[in-house]
This record gives sequence, C-alpha cells and structure tokens, in this order.
Amino acid sequence: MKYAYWLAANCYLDPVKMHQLVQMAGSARALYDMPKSFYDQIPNWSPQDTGALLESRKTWDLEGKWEKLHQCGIHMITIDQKSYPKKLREIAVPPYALFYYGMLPEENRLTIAVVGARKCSEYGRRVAMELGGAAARAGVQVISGMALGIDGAAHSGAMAEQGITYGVLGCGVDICYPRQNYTMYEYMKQNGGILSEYAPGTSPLPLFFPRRNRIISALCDVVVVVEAREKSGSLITADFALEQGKDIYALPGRITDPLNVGCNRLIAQGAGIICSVGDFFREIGVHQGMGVKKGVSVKVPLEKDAARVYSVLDLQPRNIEYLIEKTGFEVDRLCDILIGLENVSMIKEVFKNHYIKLSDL
Amino acid sequence: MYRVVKTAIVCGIESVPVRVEADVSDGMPLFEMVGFLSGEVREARERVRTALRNLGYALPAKRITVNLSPANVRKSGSSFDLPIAVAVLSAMGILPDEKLDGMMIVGEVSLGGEILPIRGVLPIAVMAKEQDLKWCMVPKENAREASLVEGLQVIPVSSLKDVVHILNGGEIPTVESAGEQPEEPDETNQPDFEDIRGQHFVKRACEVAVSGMHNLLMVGPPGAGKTMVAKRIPSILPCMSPEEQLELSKIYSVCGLLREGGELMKERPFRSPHHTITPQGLSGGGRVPRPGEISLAHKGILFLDELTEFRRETLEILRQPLEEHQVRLVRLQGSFAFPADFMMVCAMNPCNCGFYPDRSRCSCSRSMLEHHVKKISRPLLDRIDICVEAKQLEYKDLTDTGKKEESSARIRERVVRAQERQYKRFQGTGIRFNSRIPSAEIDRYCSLKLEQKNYMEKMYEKLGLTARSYHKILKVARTIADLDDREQISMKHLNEAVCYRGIDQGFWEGSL
Repeated sequence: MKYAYWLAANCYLDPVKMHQLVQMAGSARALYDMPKSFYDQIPNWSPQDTGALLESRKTWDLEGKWEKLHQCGIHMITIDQKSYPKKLREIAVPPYALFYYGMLPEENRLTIAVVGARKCSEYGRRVAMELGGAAARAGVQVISGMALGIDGAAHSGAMAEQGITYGVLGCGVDICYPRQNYTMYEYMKQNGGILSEYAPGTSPLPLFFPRRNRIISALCDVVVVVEAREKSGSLITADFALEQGKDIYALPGRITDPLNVGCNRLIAQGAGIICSVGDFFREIGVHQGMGVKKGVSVKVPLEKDAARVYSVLDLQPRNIEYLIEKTGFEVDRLCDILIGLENVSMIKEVFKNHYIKLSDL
Repeated sequence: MYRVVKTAIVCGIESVPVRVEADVSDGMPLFEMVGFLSGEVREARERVRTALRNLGYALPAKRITVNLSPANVRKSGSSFDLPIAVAVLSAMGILPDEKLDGMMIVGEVSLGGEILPIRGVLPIAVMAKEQDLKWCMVPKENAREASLVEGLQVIPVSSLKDVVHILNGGEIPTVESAGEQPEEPDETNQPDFEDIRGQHFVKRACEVAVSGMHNLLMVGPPGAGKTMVAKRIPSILPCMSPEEQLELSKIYSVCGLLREGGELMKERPFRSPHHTITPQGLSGGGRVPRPGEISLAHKGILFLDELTEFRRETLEILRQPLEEHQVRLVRLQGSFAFPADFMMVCAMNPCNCGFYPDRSRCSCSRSMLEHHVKKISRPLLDRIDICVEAKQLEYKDLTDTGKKEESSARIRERVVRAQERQYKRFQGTGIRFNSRIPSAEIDRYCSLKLEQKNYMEKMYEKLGLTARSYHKILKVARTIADLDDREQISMKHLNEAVCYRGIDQGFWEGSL
C-alpha cells in the first residue's frame, strides 16, 4: 500500500494511466522499482511523466509518509481492492486511489448529491438546506462538494438533522477548503466522510475541482442541481451524471435570473423538475421517514398587522423600504412588527435590513 | 524714539496678542528685525521699507530696530507689515502715538503702500475685544468680518496714506454695512427632504440620528440616493445659536473661507471631502496647523461618501476627534486645538459592484465581500450608532409626483423638540446629546423596566451583541423615545433601535 500511496501522490497523472501502469508492472511495488526503460515501451507515454515519476521516487519517504497517513487517521483505498466502491469503478475515469476520513458511502443506501452555485441566492440556500434536511430525516445519504453556497447549505441541512453526509474535496482531505466550512468538515469526519482522490497535503487547484465532480456524481443515485449559472461547475457534475446514467433533477427558476439559466436548461433537456421537496423525494422512491422537522415551533396565529407584513415577504430578501411601500406602515411600527416576527422565527434578517420569510418548502 | 504697536497672531483658531516695538536711534544705519520671525515676516522689512519710500517717507540714516514680542512665539503670516510700518513711522516721529495704545493693527502692505487683506481677522477682533481695546485697524476687505464683533470700533484702511491720515486725527471711515443685513438663509434654494420620494426608512433614520447626534452609516447600491439624503441632513439640524455661529466663523476666518462681504456662518456646514483626502487634510495640519475638514464640519455634518475607498490611515485619524470633539495637533511651535464637534455621516456600497444581496446582479465572491468590509476599521464602525440600508430607487419613485413628501421644516420641528428634551435631562451634566452618554451613565439615563430588560437579555443572546453594541442600541432607543416624547423607553423604541444597529462582520458572513 505504501507504494500505491507513492503513486497516487502524483496527482498530475491521469488516473487511468496510473492504473494501467500498475497492471503492466504487476503491482505498485513492482512499478516503484522499474527502471526508465520500462516506461519507454509504454504507448502514448510522455517522457515528462517518466521524469516526474522517477524524480518523485527520490523525494518520497515511503515509510515515513505511510506512517503519517495512519497517524492522521486517513484511510486509503485503491481500485485494486475489493472494497473500492462499485459505483465508482464503473465510470469512465475511476480514480486510482481514494483517501478518506470517516467512511465511504454505503453502497445499498439511497444517496443524493446536491450541487449548485457558490454565489447563490438566499432562496437557493434555503432549498438546498431543506433538501439536505429532508434527506437526512429519511435516512438518505447526502453527497456534495463542501463548497460555499449551495454545497455547504446541503451539508449543513443534513447536519442540522444529524444525517449522514459526505463531502468530496478538490484537495487533500487534511485540508479544510474553504475554511469557513470547518464545522461541517469536522461533523462529516464523524457522521459520514470526507473523500478525495488527491493525496493529503495537495493544495486546492482550480483544475482539480471539475475532476472531483465526477466522483460526486458517481457515488450518488440522483443529482440535484439547485442553482447554476450558464457556465458552471454544477453543470459539469450534471454532464458526468448524464454520462454515468444517473437521474438528474433541477430546481426551476425565473428565466431572467442568471442563477437559474443552467437549471432551466437542464429541465429543458429532460431533467426532473423539483416542484416541492416532498414531491421530489416521493418521485425518487422515498415515501416515509421524512416526517416533521425537529424543533419547529407550532405556527402561532398572527395579529392583523403582522400578517400583512408577513404576506408581503417572500424568499427573496426584501428591503425595509420595500415593505414600507407595500404595507404603508410607519417606520417605527414596521420595525416593531419585523423584530416581533423575527423573534418567533417566522422571518429572518439575512442582510442589513433585508428580510426573508421562513416558510416550509 | 521708542514706540509700541499692538497686533496679534492667529494660533490655531485662537489669537495671541503680539507687541511690535520699534526703536529709531543713532548708530550704524540699519533696519533690523528680531523676535522669532518666520521667512514671510522677515520679508516684511523690504516691503515696509519700499512702501514707506513710495509714500514719500525716506527712512533716516539711523539704526532702526524692530522687535516682535513675546519672543518665544513664532511669528508667521503676512499680517505684521502694517503694524511694523506704523511702529516705524511712529518711532520716526511722523505719527502721534496717543491712539496706538488702544488700537489693534493688522494688515499686509504692498510695495505701493496699499493695504491687502489677511486671513483670520475674526479671531483677532474677538481677542481685541477681550483685551478691552477700543479700535481695530484692519484692511478694508476684512472690515466687515471684524465688525461682526460687537463693541469694537473697526477702522477700515486701504492704503498707508489713509493710515497716516487717520492717525493724525483724520476722520475714521465707517464700515460699509453688509447690504440687506438680516439675510435669512434662502429656504427655497436649500436642498429639502421633500425632494426625495420614498426612502422613508432612511429619512426616519436621519431624523433619529440628528436628534441624538448619532453617527450614521448608509449602505446601499449605487444610485440609491445616499448622497442626496446626506446633503439634506443640514436642513433638519436646529439653527445655530449666535455663540456657535461665531465659533464656526472663526474657523472659517482662519482658513480664509468666510464669505466675501463678511458675515457670520448662519447655516450649518456640510463638508464632503473626496476619498483621496490625506490625513492632514482631514484633521488639519501643516507646519503652522490650519483646520482640516473635520473642523470645517464643526457643528455640522461631515459626510464621507464611499467610505471603503478612504485610505485606512485617513479614517483612523477620526477616532480621537469623534470621542473628544476636538482635534489636538502638536507641532514645533506648540500644540493647537481645533474644535471638531460634528456628526459623521458615511455612505458605502455593500460590495464592490454594489448590488449585494441581489444575486442576479452581484457576482462578488465571498472573499471579495469580506475584503470589502474589512477596509473599514472596527474602531470606526464602533463609533457609528445607526446603520441603515438604502434601497435602489425605482422608476415609479422618480416619476410619482402625486404624493407629497414631508418637508425638512416639519422634521426639524420634531428634532428640535427631541433635542430640547435632552437639553433638559442633561442640564448641568456636561452631556448634550444622547449619543454622548458615557457608558457608566447608561443605566441612569436609559433605564429599562423589568419586562424590557428580560427582552433585551434575550435579544443580546439572539443577535450576538457585544457590550458596546448593546449600549448603542440603548442610546438610540433613548433618542427614539425622546422623539416620541416619552420618558420611559418602551418595547417599540427598542425594536426600532435594533433595526438601526450597526453592521458587524456577521452580517456578511451569516448570509454567505
């Protein structure tokens, strides 16, 4: 295994080629000892890769690195092993090795991936959280990329309901990137897993992220795209999912909003449409267990003025000024009502003087 | 012969008396000047010498010594020419000296003998009055400014010839009155809050801010009318008292900014320095310090548009003046204190592009947003009590002329009433406004009933407040209660104050 670790640490190598090399040499151990002439006989092999591999042999501390990996509690699995996820083995470019904290997704359990824009709207965030939470309540595993925005919202939705959730990173699993998501990173180590095909210590580079998306789509059964711009990483995930024959669902949105263009196009191309969180789960075969959200207060009947303010709010952040125009209340009265509503958790101030409704989806 | 003439120098915005002594006696022919002089004062020798010759008075072949005392104050500025000329003429025996004792003389002299205007006549005239002098001789252009001080006879002069004539017992010309004197500030030209459609929330925030002199921050997309609102804030400030007018006029006089024709500053100042301003420009500075923008905004509004674009060290300068309401500059010549009792109004965009949280238009990444907010220093944000978000104006806001908006005059009435309440409450305590309540006294002035206390305790947890932000909410609630004409702060007032609470890092983070 320590030899496989050495090989896998060469993150620039094509995973398919890695596997090919191991098969030609017999094992990773044998490959480690191969002379330069061995590489020369491989078809389509670039001499730069040979140089890099041979060079890495000199600097790589076999024993020390392997020891360190264990000490950190990071698991490693290669494609040669039986326990390598079956779903992953089937795809076009399976990673040669997987590093992970926690555990790998359970094969026989329904798994959904929730992906979307980093710069998402408040509405998208709420839907993603709701999806993550509902999945957690129904015992469905949630996979995503632990990025800011939709990804993080899905994880934290699952986290709030103590569900199982997995994050696939575009860097080494020992690096919490982005660092703002540290709490969910720690949570997933215990309740799910942090996965990556890159060796620990690999820093996040832009080219790694599209590649990790294929792992997200491979490990799940259903991909949900919540918000995506016209050209976005989420659409790459959707493309992979399509290739791998997974179901794709997308959250519809206003056609004028750039954040919805990607999703609406997916729907036009035949992706499933999310009309409500409940409908979505029924469609993918989850009928029970979704139950009621934990810790939700019973709806209190609102007094007349508060109801008027509440009816004007929606899932888009609304400025106080807008509310004054719509309701016609004086500023002091409106502030009073807003804070009152916020205190009973019916609305939320998401940005300075911007409020959204906290209704069920 | 030995003669003394009284003059003065402006130090900060105060004036210090200076005696010009001239002695003409036998000895080597020489014109010597001593007394800690700066370059421009030393040059006065040539100007005076030439001007006197052109007037027809040849300097005698004697030893002329001029001393400016006290010798430990550095003399700078161009106002010493005239007193030196008068002292020399008098020492030469050309001018009688009976009047010189009760007269303050300032002015610059040209080679042709004309008297040129100087800066800072007002503080000098004020000092002359304090010194119980009877006359004050000033350049004609500065005469009206000097005559703002009551009980002082101002002698306007335009040439050395006039000076000689007057001192020899000639008739003293009167100061031209300033046209139609009680020139009320022209209400129709003043920007008025009734011009702004919509924006009720921001307007209300301005009203509260002005009532308690709370510093205000407006966040909003470009074109939301933040600048428009800020420009109208002076129109709801109460009128200045005569003492305040004189104090402000002194600052403007020192800067040479007092309006032509010399009248007191009747309107509250609105200063809006560009964000490229240097720290010295803001606080005042120079080798001989002059007041900066914060002093020019004394008793008025200092508006910092595009707050995030200001250089950090420039904004840091504001910290001390915001606490002490004056700025103290220490230079070689001594320390200078300029008053800087202003209300700070700031405006900024919520992010680089300005459209956050409208994600269909804003694509700023989280790190960009964080970077944007971090540009303003924490201590400065701590000194801002009220923070509001301004909404983008819509087409109908611009065109809907049907609805009549409230005028500044009516808002001002409420402000005046709220400030009167504060005046009564704080009488004899040295506090003037709610925003100035020291934290030790908060419990005394912003006392809450048990019910409200419990409520605020809950809010404290919920909103993650700090001691400082909690106090700010209480102070603002106090002002809102004053506007409401209530002594007891109620739940409603607290809730409104919570809506105005300052931005903190959490605001951006929580929503990302």
